Amino acid sequence: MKDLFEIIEKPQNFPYCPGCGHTSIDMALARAIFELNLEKKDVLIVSDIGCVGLVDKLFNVHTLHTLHGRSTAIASGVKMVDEVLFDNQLKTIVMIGDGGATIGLLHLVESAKLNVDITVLVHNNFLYGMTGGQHSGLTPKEFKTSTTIRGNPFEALRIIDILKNSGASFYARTFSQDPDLKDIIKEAISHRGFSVIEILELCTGYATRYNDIKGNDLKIILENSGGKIKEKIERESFGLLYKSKFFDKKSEFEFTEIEAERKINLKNPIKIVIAGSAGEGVQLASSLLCISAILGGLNSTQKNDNPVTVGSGFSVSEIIIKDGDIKYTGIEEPDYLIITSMDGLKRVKGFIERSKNIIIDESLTDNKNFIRVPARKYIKLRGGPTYFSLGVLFGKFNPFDFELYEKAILKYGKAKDETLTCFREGLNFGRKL
Amino acid sequence: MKIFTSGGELIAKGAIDAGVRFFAGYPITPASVIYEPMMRELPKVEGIAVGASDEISAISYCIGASLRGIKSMTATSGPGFSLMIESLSYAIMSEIPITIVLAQRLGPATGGATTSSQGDLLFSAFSNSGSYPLPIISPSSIEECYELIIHSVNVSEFLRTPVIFLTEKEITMTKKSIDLNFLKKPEVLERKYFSGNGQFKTYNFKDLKDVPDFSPVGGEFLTRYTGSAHDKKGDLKKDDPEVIEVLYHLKEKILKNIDKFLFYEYFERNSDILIVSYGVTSESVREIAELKKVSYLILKTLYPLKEEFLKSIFEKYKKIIVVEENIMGNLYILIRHLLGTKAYSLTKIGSLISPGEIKNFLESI
Ligand code: SF4
Repeated sequence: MKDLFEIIEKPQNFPYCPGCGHTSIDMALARAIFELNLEKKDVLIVSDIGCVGLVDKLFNVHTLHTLHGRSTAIASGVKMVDEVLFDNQLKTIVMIGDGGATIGLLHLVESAKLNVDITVLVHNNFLYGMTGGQHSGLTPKEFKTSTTIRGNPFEALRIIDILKNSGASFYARTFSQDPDLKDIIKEAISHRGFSVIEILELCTGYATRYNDIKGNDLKIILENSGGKIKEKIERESFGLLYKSKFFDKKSEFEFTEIEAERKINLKNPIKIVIAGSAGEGVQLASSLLCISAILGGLNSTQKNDNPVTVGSGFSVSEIIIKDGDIKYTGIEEPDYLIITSMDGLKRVKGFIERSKNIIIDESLTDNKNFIRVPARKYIKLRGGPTYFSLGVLFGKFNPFDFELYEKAILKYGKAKDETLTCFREGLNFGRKL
Repeated sequence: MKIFTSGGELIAKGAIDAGVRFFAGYPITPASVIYEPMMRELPKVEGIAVGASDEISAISYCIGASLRGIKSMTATSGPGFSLMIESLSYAIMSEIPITIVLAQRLGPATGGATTSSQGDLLFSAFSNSGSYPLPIISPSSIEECYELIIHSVNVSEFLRTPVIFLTEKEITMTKKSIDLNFLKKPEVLERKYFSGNGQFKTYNFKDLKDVPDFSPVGGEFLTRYTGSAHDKKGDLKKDDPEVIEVLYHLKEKILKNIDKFLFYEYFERNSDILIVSYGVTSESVREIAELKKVSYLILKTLYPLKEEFLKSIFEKYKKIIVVEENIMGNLYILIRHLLGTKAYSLTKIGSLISPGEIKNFLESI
């Protein structure tokens, strides 16, 4: 690039009000890009909404005009990919104003935390310019705006402190007329990781209308609010961390794969509902039941039902086993209903009338029509009541070869010894019934 | 060899096979079963999967990743989708391909996290400011998740649009034995890149229905992406007829290309009754149609609808029943003007509509 004005329009063509701080910041940015000798295609300017969002047309680089507040997040998406999957050449600069900083605060915090390799220029002119000079989250105390005509009663948000504490690896605070601004921007762009510069500036359209303030006063405001800051912290960027921590283990998509061992002949589908309490192995025992059917060359489905918390309350699985294609995965009339706890009983009350056979823990009912079993005796063992009850089902009804269920436990189960013991105890109990 | 898996896992597998290499998510039932396998599997194929701080960040990351040229996807449910809507509008306006899996649960608001539902069709069809059309594709079985997520990613890529993959808790979270060999894998399609011939404009098209050739941010050709009203170059403008032309183009490129993503299953029987359904309820319809010898139409492209095509089917029947698991009869509302006089809406919430319930309804009319 020979000429600065290859990348930026002449200031006389800028759309901002005369004297607006945006002009100085844009020019400082252009000079920084020029002096860093970056190629146009290696620079992306991501703009937010507001006067600051008029920047796109001024720069002859890649530009991306986004939504209010979302510029940082969208830029981060671009840069995550550029850093990890491409050659990390793209310098991504986010231009936000007061609104972008507050609406997008969580995005700024998150990108700082992840140390995404972007540079954010916060244009802090203490108010919302484009919409008519209303106060913003960055408006200083006592500052007058169209909506705080007697002076803002509240303190301004200290954006740089927030981002510093969120893990920004480069952060600076200065003002638009600072002769060092260009060099600070250069440093920020060259830094690998999240960099942010808060730049105090003047909205000549509105700030001057309500306050007795001139451009030179920015320096005083800066000094009175903590002074100039520039810090750099060595920390690995998102892309470096991602590549080193994630890209190591290569393997196939992990499915639960099952090779059928034999072909069971099953005339009618089997429909089983297992109802118990969360944390008592209902879902895993049910999955193993489905797997045992697959080992026998059959098809199976498992539809689960639980409250929002998986660790408390009921846990219900509906299992269909069929020689052939299963379509509807719900159960209207279970062949077998297993109930191992009060939580489960309450949940499946509606099923009781419609079930052919009911296996239930003996503590839950006196009804002689049910098969009452001592399932909860096995509560100390992992999934005890469920595996015991399933054993009873196999022992009494022999829906298909019980050995397949034992194989499923051994190959795909957890706490295999405990569950196998419970299942076998149930099996013996069931056989004697 | 069989696998024992869920719709959620198959969506993840299909997305990766479709070339998705960027995923951003935030946990939400019943879409976490897509988020988790994507976090586990994407790094294995040198893709990026990130957990975002909320759903707005998730979709924004996807938009950014897609702009850099990588196929991107996120997955959520009603409450999270509500947060994504502004960004979804942005992706429509700035013509950015992304796939959003919307796994429905009982609404409104946080509703019932672990209760199946089909209440979000109208919500998602009209979820952008300005009401521009965007494709909604919905699997009608667990195994179909694989095939249709690939189609969804394809459509988003070649039409440069967000696509909603609309599914339900009982599809994403229910497990089923599946023969991997029987999964259908459609051809994977790509967005068309600008070749370097002629002048590059970010939103260039000749005919309104044309999809502009893509060039990534950071690529060789300088791009100007925007979500504000713009001309073909991407310059923010107001009083220019080209801006209005670009807006009409956003509609035409979807509606005029509808044949490229018209997915359905029409089972014709010698009957004067037709059942129309979609999503998880389709399985009950298939089961009962077998027994009662009625015809059925399962829609897998739910929006936009090809009206003349639907009409040509509906005309053949004396009675049409639209079955779906929601309160208002979402699909019924979308198609009722095409149905003719003897049309019925069978709806229910709280649990799946069973084949028995459809049977009873059929016997009552
Ligand atoms: S209104 Fe304020 S911020 Fe906007 S261009 Fe004018 S001076 Fe600048």
